[in-house]
Amino acid sequence: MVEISDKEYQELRSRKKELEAAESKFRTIFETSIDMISYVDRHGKILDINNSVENLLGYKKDEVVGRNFTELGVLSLENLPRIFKLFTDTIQKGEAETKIELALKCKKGEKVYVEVGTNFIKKDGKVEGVVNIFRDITERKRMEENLKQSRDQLAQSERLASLGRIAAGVAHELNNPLTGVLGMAQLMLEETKKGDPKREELEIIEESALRCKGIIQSLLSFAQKTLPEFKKINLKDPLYQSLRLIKKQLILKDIQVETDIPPAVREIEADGGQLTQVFLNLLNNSIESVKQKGIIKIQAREDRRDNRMIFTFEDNGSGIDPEYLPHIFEPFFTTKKKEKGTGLGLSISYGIIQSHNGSIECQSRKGKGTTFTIKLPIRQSGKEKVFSCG
Amino acid sequence: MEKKKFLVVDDEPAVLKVCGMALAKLPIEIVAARDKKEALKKLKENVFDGVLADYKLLQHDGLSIIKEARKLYPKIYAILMTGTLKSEELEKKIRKTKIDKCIFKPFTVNELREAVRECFGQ
Repeated sequence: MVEISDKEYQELRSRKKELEAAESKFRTIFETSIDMISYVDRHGKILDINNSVENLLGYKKDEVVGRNFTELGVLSLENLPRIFKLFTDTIQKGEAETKIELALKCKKGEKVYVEVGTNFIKKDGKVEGVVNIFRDITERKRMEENLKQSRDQLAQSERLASLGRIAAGVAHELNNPLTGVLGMAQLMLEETKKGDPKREELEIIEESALRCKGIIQSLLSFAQKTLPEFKKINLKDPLYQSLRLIKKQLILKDIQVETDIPPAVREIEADGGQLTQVFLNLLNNSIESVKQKGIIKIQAREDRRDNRMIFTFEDNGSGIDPEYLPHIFEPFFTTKKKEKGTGLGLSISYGIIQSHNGSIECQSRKGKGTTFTIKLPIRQSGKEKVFSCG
Repeated sequence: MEKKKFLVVDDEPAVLKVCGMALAKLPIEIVAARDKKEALKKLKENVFDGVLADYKLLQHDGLSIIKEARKLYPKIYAILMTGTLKSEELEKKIRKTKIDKCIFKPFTVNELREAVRECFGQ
């Protein structure tokens, strides 16, 4: 037994109090940190976590402490090698990347994006454990993702707008000579008697010129956007109208159409004829893409927050190659055989939805199917029109 | 029936030819011009009942020719032909210039004749 003097005893008591005060101070800082903090030993066993872990990930201290960090479901398999490297670098080399970004899974399954910084704690010159600080960057990530999406959409709009300008110029230049071809063929037909073998040749010229006229008009529709005539319409009308028009093809391929539209769907201000055209284009593409007995699902729902309607057209067809996906709204882009499409359907649909102040997007997985999502405002502010000449 | 006189302005010879031949079946006398200068000269030399002008000519637009024609003949019937599509901009111009009819290229022979017949109330 070692005897100590009163003075030494007083000193030890005072140092103990200081240590307790320091411990209490650091514990308070540790627990009140908005960032999540964990302390793990050199084998990966979790020794301590702060309150933010429970707040952000939903795990209580006693569910986590004593377990190895790799056992918890918070890290996805693809993230494990990165966090493992960060951990071993910190332990072995006494150094690590200062920050890495990770996605963690909450107890309830939601994803939380974090930025992780690590440091080591040494005892007797040896690394005893690792401190990890996780900063929640989910909101920043979401904003970055939104920004990226907006940029991509803007780039796509600009690309399509410039293609539209070129297309409009070409179409306009073609209309003049085509007036000559069509007019002359029809005038010569008027002068050619029935039974004259020349009639058939002239009719071929006339028919071809009328076909060109149709293609050019479609191209101009995409490029210049035909003005929609906004009226209050029930969305079911253009949808069922397009389904009626395409009924034969659906029956031929024994395709099942499942519609999920709320019975009391709100009226929207739109051009019913133009929306029928869009729906027909999407349905046509789906019919081309699905096999015999395929399924097309059509859904509509109201987005009350943004005061708009959202439609999805989903099929279980062949899907679109990822390399083609960025080009599907461009005029004349088609993967169909020449006789089956001009490659204008989707570009016209894009133009129509844009002139309705809406958006159209496509998601597709090769071999699995394609989903088009259309977002349309319920009210059009101050846009109207009827163009009467022609 | 007395023949009405119609001025047709287009810088495309093929279009002028088609208009001339198609309208020859109507009781109409056609005078053709390929640009604004020629159109103004013809407008001063003859008395016209109607004018059919292309919207986009090489140097001018058909609307300016129609405006000039209206100064000389306030009641002249005006038809605009265009290779463009309906647009807000075109619509505004048509209203402002009080165009009676607008036809879109490539028009059929019958569409052209119909437009001209409508102008004359036939």
